[in-house]
Amino acid sequence: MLFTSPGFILFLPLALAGAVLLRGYARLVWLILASLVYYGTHGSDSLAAFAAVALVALAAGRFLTTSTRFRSLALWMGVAAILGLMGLLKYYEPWATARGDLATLGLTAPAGFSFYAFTAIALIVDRYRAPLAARAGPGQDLLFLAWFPKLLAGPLERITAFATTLRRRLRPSPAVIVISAQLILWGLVKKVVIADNLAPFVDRTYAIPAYAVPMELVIASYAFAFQIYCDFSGYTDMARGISRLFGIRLSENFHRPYFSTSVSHFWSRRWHITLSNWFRDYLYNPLIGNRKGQLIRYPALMAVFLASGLWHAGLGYGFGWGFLIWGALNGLFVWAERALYHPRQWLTARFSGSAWARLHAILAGLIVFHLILVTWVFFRAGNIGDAMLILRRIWAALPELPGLLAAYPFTAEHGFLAALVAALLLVEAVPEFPRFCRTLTRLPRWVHWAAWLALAFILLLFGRWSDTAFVYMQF
Amino acid sequence: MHPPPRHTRLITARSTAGFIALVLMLYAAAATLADRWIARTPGSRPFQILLARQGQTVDWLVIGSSHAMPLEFGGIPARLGAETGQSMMVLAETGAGPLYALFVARQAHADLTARRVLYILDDFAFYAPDWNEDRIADRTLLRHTPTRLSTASGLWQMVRRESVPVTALADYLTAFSKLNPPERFPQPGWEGRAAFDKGFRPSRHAIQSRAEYLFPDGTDMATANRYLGTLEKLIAETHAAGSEIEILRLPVAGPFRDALPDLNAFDARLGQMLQRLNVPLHDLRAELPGPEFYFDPDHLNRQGMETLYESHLQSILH
Repeated sequence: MLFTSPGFILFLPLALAGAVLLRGYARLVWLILASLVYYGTHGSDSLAAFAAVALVALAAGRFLTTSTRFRSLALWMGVAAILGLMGLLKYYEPWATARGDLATLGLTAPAGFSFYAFTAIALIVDRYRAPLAARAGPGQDLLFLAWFPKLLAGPLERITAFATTLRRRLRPSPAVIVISAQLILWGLVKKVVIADNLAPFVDRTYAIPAYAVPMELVIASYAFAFQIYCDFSGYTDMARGISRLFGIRLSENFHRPYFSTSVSHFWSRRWHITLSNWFRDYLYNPLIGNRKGQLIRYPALMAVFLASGLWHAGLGYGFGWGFLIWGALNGLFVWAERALYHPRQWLTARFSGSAWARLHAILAGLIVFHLILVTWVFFRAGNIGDAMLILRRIWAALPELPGLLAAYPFTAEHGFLAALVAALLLVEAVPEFPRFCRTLTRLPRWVHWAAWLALAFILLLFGRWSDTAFVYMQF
Repeated sequence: MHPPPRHTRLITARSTAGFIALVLMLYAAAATLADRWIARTPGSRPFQILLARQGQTVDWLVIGSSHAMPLEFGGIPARLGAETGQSMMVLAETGAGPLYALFVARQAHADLTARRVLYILDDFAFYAPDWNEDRIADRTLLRHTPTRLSTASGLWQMVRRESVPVTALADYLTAFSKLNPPERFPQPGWEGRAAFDKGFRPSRHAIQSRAEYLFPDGTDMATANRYLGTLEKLIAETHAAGSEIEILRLPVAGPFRDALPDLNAFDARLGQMLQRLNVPLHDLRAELPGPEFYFDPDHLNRQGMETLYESHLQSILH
């Protein structure tokens, strides 16, 4: 079951009714059961994998909060067990297939595995670092791992924040319902209207990189950048909206990433923010420790990006070396940005407040977007060979691009997809203009209702309600 | 945080209810318009044809999958009419197996009087739900099925008794696929009528992939038996409606036939069943083996259809 499945329309009110009617421990049990039922619809294998991860995390967490001896051992054993299971489920099959002399076991990571595995690691490490923080029974920790809105694709939460929000009394107010509905509706629009309409075009073109004309490869690469953004951030918006109905606040995971003017900011403050924070807290900071030297920071940064690439790999079409290249490229861009820190600061200070500053911001945004776009090609293409072929063909066609653009037989589909992306960018650009934002909020109430009505009809008329899985679920 | 005052909650509840009511009203209006448009558009889909020709009497009602379409493409109904005065209506749908045929036949028996039914039997269609339950639930086909009480009732029977997903009925009743077409930007695919005058150069890859496409679940005899039961129902209901029924197996190109799986058990079971029910079977699979009679691996082209008509169909239909 997905947020976009017909079954979810029945599941959500039922789960919500129980949460509103029940109190205390009964409510906690109800929410755990609802989460397990939700995940159970993805198959018993999924539940078994979840049970294994939860068992390790809860046992390690319990030991770490109650014991004063062998705590480091418990920490490393817990983390190693989860990483070992992740390695087995995600990487063994492609590795065995590539070697040829090892038996394949038919193992695959179930939907959302990496997300709850990383959440479980965060739980164990946090229990190790601060055993008294958010202290509570195993029920709370289990719900933290299993909470259905975030189970399949995050955000990656921390136990302290989650426990705090869980303790609040559930009091559904009109304001909360309106905010939740807005998040869910906008998330749905992003997923079923934008991402799922862009997906078929991208799939068709990326399936034949050697035969698609360069203009198609260019358009498909742009389309994929917006498809992946809308697919993933749409999920997060829905997860946050649904969770909020239950009185549980989830973290913001995206902040208009394609308006970023630096690759570092793109990764740390705008795209999959909770994963970046996870890598910062559980990999980067432990790696550099108290050392401030560049000699350790640069390799540590690259290690984080390579780990992120590795996290995405093992997807069923071979090992997925393209994800490692994707991670490495992003690491290189961040390196370059760090190396150019002083000239960039000088430029910013030199033109501060002038029209040049705006132009600089726009140019920086465009450059960052296109750098990220190049890395997405490795992310989306089936293998490194295809990715290189796509980039080579686009590169070769670049000098002739104006002519190709003029001669390309654009269709109604292209127009429709361009309109979707333009609408998305317009909506995302609004918060960049605070005065315009204030004007919008002061508009009569009927205008607001009309806008929501239009959005509802856009969903109904242009949404692709085909139960398409969210891209990030598979990681 | 204090809960909002009661009157605020009431206003919000009223606004929300009003908003939902407005959405529903506008949706109903849009759905009605979309359905009218589909119903009035002259189409070649079985349910559109049936709606347009309600109350008529036909001598031959042809039901089948895309393999039956060349009869229409080749102008066989008009030729039969000119030669014998008999009328023929072709209700063919791509990838339609016996369950879809039963769905169409029930509507046909409700809408018109058919003296004889000619069921174009395709063995592949008995081996996978893809050609049966899934086709009835296929949003592309539901989009071209005008909303009518009799069709809704037929679909309800399919949901209740034949494991057709209930979402198909929900889609049909809400006219959702008519408002939100599943194939908004159709991609080039099977050309059908446009390719009817062309020939076909056999390619091993094309033939093999077509054969694999037609048998997605392999050749499980239990599945085939289930759909043979559906065919038996179709025959019984046709007899109950006062019509005769005959079964026709169309020619299959030689190279394509070689790529098909072994279906001897199916042929034997089908033969026994039709003999028991006393239904004539015209098995023409071995006729016209040459690729010049086909416009793709398995569909007759104009030359094939004319040759077939003159050599076999005339004697069956006259």
